[in-house]
Amino acid sequence: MTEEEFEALIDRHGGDPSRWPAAERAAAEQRLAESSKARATLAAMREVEHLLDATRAAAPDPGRILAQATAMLQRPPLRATVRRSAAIAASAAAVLLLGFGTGQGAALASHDAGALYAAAMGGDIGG
Amino acid sequence: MAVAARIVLDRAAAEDIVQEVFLRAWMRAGDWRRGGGPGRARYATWLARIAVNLAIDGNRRVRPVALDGIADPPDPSLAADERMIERERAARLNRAVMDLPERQRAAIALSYDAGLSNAEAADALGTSVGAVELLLVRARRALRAAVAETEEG
Repeated sequence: MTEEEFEALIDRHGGDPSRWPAAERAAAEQRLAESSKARATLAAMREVEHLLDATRAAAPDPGRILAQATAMLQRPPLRATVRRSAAIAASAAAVLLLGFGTGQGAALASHDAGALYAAAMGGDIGG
Repeated sequence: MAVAARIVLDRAAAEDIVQEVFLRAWMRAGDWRRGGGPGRARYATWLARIAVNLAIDGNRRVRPVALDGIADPPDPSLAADERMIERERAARLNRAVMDLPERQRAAIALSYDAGLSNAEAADALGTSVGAVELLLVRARRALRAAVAETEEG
């Protein structure tokens, strides 16, 4: 793997080797062992990723979200079906907010929202 | 939430988007269910797609201006001067993220804040893996250059 190919790998997949394609990982690690320039490129990418992690938004205030949803429920033009959907969506949001913004958000969203979705779809939403 | 905040760079707007995402997700749950089969998008990817569309649409209406409200406090274990440096570097990165074109910013948010693979990010953005990798390549190069400037300056 050349310097250019190593930099292209970092640009496409980032600085976490677990996200590199398996077919390229061994060659990339060899390049890292041999090249100070490759190590500097990786270090620069990891610094950016550390800062992205440090600046990730924290989970929002569930109370604020619920207050907004409550205001939405009290808005007259909404049909009953929409009002009930808003209530369920607000509840779902409140549950999922505990996961989003923590770095575990995607995994929690995937798991909890799937279960919540399945449970909610079994309910009566007619109106 | 983190995806929306990274794109709109405004915490209050991001919270509004989170609420809207779940309302829309509920109203359009059938869309996700109808897209069944082995290629069906993960629920998180589907939610991310809705969040990205809302965030980009929101940015078209109101140019984001707020930056400082979304960053977590620096690591409390650092010394005071180290915390100040870390805060400056984080602010520099936030500015660099804001300067990215919208779809590059969305690709970064999906990759780092939602933890999606390149294929999943492509699905969320409604584009090809090659196209999303091109967005990530340009964004990562720009962000590395911005952070390197901090260190040199």
